[in-house]
Amino acid sequence: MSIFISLILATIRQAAPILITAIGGMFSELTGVVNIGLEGMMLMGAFSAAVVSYYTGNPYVGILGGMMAGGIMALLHAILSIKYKGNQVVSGVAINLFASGFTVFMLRVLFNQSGNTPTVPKTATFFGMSIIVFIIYIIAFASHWFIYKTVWGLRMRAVGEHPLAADTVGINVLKVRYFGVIMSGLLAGLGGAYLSIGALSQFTKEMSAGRGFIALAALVFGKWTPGGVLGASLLFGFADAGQTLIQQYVTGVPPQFIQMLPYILTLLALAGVVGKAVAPASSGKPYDKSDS
Amino acid sequence: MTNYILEMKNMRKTFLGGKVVANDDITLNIVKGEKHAIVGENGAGKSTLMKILNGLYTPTSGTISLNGEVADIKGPGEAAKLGIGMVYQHFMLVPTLTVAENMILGVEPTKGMNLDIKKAREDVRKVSEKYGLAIDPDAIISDLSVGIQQRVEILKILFKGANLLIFDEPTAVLIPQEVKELYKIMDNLIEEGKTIIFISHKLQEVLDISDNITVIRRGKDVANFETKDATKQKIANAMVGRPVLFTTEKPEVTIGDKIVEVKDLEVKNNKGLPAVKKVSFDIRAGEVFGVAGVEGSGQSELVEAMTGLRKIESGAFTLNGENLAGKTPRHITLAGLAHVPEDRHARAAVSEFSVRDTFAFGVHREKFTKNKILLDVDKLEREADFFMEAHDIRPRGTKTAFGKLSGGNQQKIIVARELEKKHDLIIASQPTRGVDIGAIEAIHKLILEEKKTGKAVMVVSAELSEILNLSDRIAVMCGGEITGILDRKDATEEKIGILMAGGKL
Amino acid sequence: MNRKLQGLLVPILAVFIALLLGAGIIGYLGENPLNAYYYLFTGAFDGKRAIARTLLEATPMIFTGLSVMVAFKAGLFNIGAQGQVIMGGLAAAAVGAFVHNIGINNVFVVLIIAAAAGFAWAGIAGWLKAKLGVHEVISTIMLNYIALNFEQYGLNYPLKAGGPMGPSPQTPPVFEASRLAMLMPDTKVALNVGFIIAVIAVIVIWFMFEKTITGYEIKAVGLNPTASENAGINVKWRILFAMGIAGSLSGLAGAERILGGVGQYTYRQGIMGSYGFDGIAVALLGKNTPVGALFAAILFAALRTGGRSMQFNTSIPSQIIIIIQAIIILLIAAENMFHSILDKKKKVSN
Repeated sequence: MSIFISLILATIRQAAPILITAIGGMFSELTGVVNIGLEGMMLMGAFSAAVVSYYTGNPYVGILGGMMAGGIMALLHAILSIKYKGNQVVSGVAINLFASGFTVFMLRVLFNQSGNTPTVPKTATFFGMSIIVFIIYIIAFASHWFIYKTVWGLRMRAVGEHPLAADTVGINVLKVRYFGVIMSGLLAGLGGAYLSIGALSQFTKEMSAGRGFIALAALVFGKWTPGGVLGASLLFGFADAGQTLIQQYVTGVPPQFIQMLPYILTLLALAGVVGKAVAPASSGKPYDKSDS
Repeated sequence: MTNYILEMKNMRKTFLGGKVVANDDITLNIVKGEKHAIVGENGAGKSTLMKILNGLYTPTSGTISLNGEVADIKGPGEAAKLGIGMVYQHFMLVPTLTVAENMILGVEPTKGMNLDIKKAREDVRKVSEKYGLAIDPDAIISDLSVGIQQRVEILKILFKGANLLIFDEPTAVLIPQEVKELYKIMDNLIEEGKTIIFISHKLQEVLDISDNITVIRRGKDVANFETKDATKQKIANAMVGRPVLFTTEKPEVTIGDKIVEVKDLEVKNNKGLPAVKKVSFDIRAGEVFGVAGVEGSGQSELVEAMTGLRKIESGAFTLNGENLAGKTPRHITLAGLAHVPEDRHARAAVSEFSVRDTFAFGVHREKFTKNKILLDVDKLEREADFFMEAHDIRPRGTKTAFGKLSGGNQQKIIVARELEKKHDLIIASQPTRGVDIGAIEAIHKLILEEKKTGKAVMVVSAELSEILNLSDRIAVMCGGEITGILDRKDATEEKIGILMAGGKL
Repeated sequence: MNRKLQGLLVPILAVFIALLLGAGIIGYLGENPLNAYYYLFTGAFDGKRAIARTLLEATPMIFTGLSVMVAFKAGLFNIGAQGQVIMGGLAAAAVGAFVHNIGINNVFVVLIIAAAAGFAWAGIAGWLKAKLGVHEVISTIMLNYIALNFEQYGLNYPLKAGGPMGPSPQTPPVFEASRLAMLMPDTKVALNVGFIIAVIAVIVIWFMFEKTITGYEIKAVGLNPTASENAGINVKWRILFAMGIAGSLSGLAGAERILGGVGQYTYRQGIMGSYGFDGIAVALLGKNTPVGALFAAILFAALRTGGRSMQFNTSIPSQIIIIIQAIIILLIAAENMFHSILDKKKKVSN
């Protein structure tokens, strides 16, 4: 029984960073901007949260630091993709590469380390889970209300599906897109902050470990809806949690195969969603009114 | 002084820092309560002018006056406040949202932090009753028919208080029945005190319903007629700048045996619903077989099935006795079927490819390779040069990107390329869509030449005049079925109209 | 200045600006940028040893740069180059170090097997995309992580020198017959025939896209798949084929690292570095052309080898090279920004 409960709690914990990053990705993609850079934004968030927590001694300021770092990276992506109408995938990949390099470089400059920061203050926990987890789930549930019941949500969806139509009724398409992209950075940064000062109490190199990409898969699998994304993230969280459990109890199988499970599961999930998942119509296309 | 609701004086609009002049010193005056038609070729600048009026573009220079007062239209919101509304050719409706959501977009009523959907529904009902246009506020746009969607577009601008309504090619996507209904709606709106501007390239329509006509050519306003003084010839000549031929000479040819047979063909559309329902017809050598019908009647799916791009659920399709149902596009091409697709940008060519590479596209394995591995670039250059000379396509360089040519020249190249293929049947879908009047003549000529060499030609077009101009026999499609096949000599617009609407003769 | 020329200028400007910003960081950290860059340059190019080191480092990146480029031409993003490099390397080590059959552990055969492993690994993503429409960005990234786990598994169990109880996670050295010949043995740097093969690959890929039917069709599919389908091109096969070729190129990168002796002919932890991801940067900087990839790879390699010399002779950590590289990529991504700035300059001068 207690294994069961600890599995559920572990699932909720492991799902949290994927969930919030995927919700962030959803904000961006619903307005029509593809964000491959979630991984980089998460990593920068993790690093900044740890560094700010270290220097201020306050992990809660650290959370804000993490979110801001993600937001700044997202602003960069927004400027490249929206203002300069660049290729959104290339911009995202560039941000990921930048984040990898930047975090490693700053590790050396600030702490003269190559693998991880020293221990930093972490957040309070309830039921064995960082307070950030609770914040994450609250935001996730609130996003459903936001997307479907508010004016902003309606406009976001309109811009994503038919930006020209939105433009002709006087909606500022670019502003709505900037909002979506920056939100994605803030939320991915929060996810990263959880990794460094929520779950652990330090930043380690490449600690996002692909979660930003799994979040993208959760977005596709969840068909760009908050409810779907929640379900998909819990599924991936379960795979992650289950994997540590399986390793404890199952001997004879090399651990690496079990570690592969979440990634294989993602592949299968993507293969299975085929044809039934339709992205917002303007996804990936820069908005140019003279294209009409 | 005439009662002008709108005066646009010396309107000038340029793009790319002055390199592209879309509107060059245009003056347009609209009388209150009239139906004013704006006519012009593709790219003449009429859409740009209307977009300025609707606030999507800001003019480079010129003044706009509404009811005598100078107006500065800063954006679509401003335009709506000034009582201007536009019904676009490609609807500005978000397909995944409901009617009510589309109506209130941009002017959403709120209850605290939430969207007040109840009020939105009420608003829709009020407007719909006031103008007598019934509509379900909770219907999702993508589930509605084209005619109904257009109604939503109209209600949307009436809801925002439009007095001057602009329609951009409003009947392009409607069946004759829906067209008649739209004309009635327009008359009602005039009775309610509204003024209407509409853009159209259908000369008959312009003569039928407008009071006044302005012709735009190459960014300038070149003519203005009162409709009672206008004729099709006058309008067309003003549009092109020279006398225009309306009918093309049809070569006298004896029609041969059946070479194409389609029997009980059934095809599904992208949603999995039947789009082609037990369609049967045949085409003979030297015959031009026209398929008329409003878009969405199943013709696109029929052509896709015949060219191997869509699955045939059941039925047969034979060319010269060979069964082509279910074969790959390549096999069908090699079997003797050439195809000018209806959407040339999506299907016929790669815009970024050079003109030279476009000539090879689709025939690269047959004609332009010596050993199936290497591309015969020299041969390609020679043939491309030859084509461009022969068909007078400008600009001459074969290295220009295909996408940079005019619509008419693009289509000429596509048609020429397809005709060069070894073929017995050529299917031309919407062959002159987006093509200027000057090039239309040339393309029609190319198509009719096919008769002389005993080829079978199938022309699918939503332009009735084109069908009547080219065809020996005409089939009419409606709702996925062929509602009738007429000999050209028995066919009239009226009869075809009845068949297009699903009626029987 | 027309668009095309502007386009060529962008990579050069990007590198220049990145180096400028790098100089700024160096200055901020208390060193003389000119001094630091002197060591950077000499470390990369001064003398036979330096050049050998630079070209050796460039070799895998030429392969992966071509790999990303080929996929890009077909309209696909090959973020999975790293995984393909690993699988190619594992295949090379598995055959080269464990298969005793002379006919099979011959270097050419091993190379082909490694290329095939890369082909298959990328082919999974290609098949998922062609057949099921799965976005290749996510699938290739997942395959990267799976490949990493395979690497760990291989180095710790079946391929481990001395068996699972062996001293360290690495394979035994490959047999003599499987090794690539040295090009500059007197420098004691492992620059090998793999570099020549990489240059040949550049020429072959260039030829494929300029002069062959296959290249023509791949370009068409990348630019307009609907039209290509209409023209009778088998779009699904072309996507699969392009990914496969991309994978085999990356696979060769992995093979070179093993068979070329840079790690004493063994597969050891970390030997595959980040070459797969570098390939993305190389392809972008090289403006998606084969020759561009060649020069971009050599440039990045020079930054790396020079960076080590700079770290040795000054207090600047070599990680600054990663930052410079990242700035270059961000600037490339901002290409349109360059165009609009240059266009504005033109307007003002008119």
